Amino acid sequence: MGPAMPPNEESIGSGDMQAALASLQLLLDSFVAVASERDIETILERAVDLARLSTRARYGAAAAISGGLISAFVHAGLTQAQVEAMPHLPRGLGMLGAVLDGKAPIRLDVLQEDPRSVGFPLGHVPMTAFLGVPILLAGNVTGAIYLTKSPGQGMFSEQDELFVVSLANQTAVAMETAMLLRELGEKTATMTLLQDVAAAANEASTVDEAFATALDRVCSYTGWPVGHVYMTDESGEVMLPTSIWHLDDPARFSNFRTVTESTPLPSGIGLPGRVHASAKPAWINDVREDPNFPRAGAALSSGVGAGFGFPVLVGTEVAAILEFFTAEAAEPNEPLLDIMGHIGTQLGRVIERKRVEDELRRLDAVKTEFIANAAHELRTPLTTIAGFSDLLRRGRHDIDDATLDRTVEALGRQTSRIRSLIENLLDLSQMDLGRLTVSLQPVSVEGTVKRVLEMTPPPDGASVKFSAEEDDISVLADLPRLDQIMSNLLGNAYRYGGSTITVTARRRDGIVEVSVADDGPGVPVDLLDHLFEPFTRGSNAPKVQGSGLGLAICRRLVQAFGGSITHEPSDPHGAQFVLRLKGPE
Amino acid sequence: MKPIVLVVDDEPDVLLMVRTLLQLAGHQVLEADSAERALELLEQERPDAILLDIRLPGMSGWDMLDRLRAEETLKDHRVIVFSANIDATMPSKVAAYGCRGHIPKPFLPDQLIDTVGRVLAEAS
Repeated sequence: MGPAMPPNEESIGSGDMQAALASLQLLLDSFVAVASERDIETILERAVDLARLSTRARYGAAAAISGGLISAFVHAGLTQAQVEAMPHLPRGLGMLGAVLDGKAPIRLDVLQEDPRSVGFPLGHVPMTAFLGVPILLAGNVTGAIYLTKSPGQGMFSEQDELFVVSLANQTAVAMETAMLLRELGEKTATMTLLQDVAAAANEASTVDEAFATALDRVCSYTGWPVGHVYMTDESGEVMLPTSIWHLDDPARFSNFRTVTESTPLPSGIGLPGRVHASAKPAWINDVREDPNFPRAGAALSSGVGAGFGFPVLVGTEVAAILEFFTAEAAEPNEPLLDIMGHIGTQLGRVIERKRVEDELRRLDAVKTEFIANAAHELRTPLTTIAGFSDLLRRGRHDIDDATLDRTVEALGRQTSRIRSLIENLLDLSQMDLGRLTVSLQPVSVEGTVKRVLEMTPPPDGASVKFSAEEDDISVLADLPRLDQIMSNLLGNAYRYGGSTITVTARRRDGIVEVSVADDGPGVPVDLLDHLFEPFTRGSNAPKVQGSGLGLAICRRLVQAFGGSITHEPSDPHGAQFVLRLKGPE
Repeated sequence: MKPIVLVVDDEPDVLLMVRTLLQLAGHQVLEADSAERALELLEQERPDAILLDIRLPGMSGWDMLDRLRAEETLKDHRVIVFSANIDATMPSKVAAYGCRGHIPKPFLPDQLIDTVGRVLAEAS
């Protein structure tokens, strides 16, 4: 449809029949014209043009109402000069308000005589006859069409009113269709965005790649030219700028980029800091005027206005923040921030997946190292056993008795070393497979220490003291396994500790604490983090005496008892291992 | 005069075995249970070959090789590495350090005797 023709008296016939036919033709035209539009303002323009053409009104206007407010307004018939002379466009008061409130047409011969009229503001063109028709959809007012004539132009007829009411109904349907189509379009774009980000998240081989794709997709969805990623550092409290960007115009934003990349932000500060502190999306209408936006200077020079950011969440942890900026200031768009929240969750899953992959790789490396260590530990005694056997086979007549005795002793020692190593390895693998069974019963701590000391007394020059805050302290444990733990801890103290070893037992809030402390040099600092891992071994003692599995086994056993074992430095020096076990009651 | 072999290993039983084997093969044996102790011994002794373990407490076998190479009076020592290290880069590393031989643990007594014998023969 081309632009509407101005009302032309000569073109309309004078007979009733002719007029009715012309009206009908217009009505049909209007159906096609209005229904073929997809934009609310264009629909209103078409409706006003047709209404004026049909009713020969000099002036016409139409408004769309959304949420009780005028969301679109068009008018026709006024010259640019006349519009500029008016102090303001209609605000929905007066007659327009009456049409909207009354949900019914109002037809007046002289507008100013009606008590509902609020009169015209100064500078308004003179108007007399008035025809206002609400646009109704299922009983709800979604807008209005109204027409006025200049003094001397005559009045609106009943037929005019009927025509405009039909036109308004058609307009209502067209507006609703346009709105549904627009919503559908928005929803489709949102779905596409979420699907694109989800696909990128699945396909990305690195977290950075997933972030870069998300920046591109969000910028294309919003039409915003700048997207950037901040990562939370290891402390979890500082946001570090990355070099991952989406920039529609890199040259224009180069200063903003440079400043951003040298601006780490603590939690709560700036846009990323705010997102981090709340773990929710945040919006800044104009970063240049925001008191909490340290990059405001660069934003001003690069022409950056509104900004929003959202968290990449791994559980409740904010792992990263994606931030976006546009050139103009803008009011918050809550539905958009909701969508961004979903994207943050999607990206969080990428990080989570990478972390699981890293952990699996680490565990795999630990396993490989474990096997290498176990092989090494077995090779060493095997070397000596093979060597000694060969020695005895070939040269026993050339060896003196003393050496022969020591050789036989060494063979026994190395054989039992292999046996205990294999037993420990089997123990450990059974425990790791969850096949460790313990039968818990009350076991006396003092009795345990006595039994172990009988089996493995301290070496010459060393002594073990036992003290308890009360008599007969017992713990819930598996007796032979508790002996094994005590034997391991005392064995370590003999090997690495000083001359005085102290075992103490005391009750604390229903928990029994058993401490094995020595006054030796203590555990070397570099071992502390790995103390309870297999094949961690003090290098300040000869290799032959330990498998490096003792503490690893102790920890698993104690955990099977429902207790814990920790290392705490002894005062003033030495190592101290503290068992915390349940009491029998 | 019997050739002198210095054995550096922190395991007493390995020292006992290697010493006995070498003595039976007609060598004189010096022992050290650490690289630090070995370097001390080298201030007074001039062995014809050194059998060196890599995994040692404190200073490692590689550290000791670095020291030997760095000092004018020590760099001509003939070193045979013997180690249970299963690292695949071991042979190339041993060669890079200019060692005369590599005996991987576990080894057969003949392997030890033969390698030491070959290195000593090269010396004379």
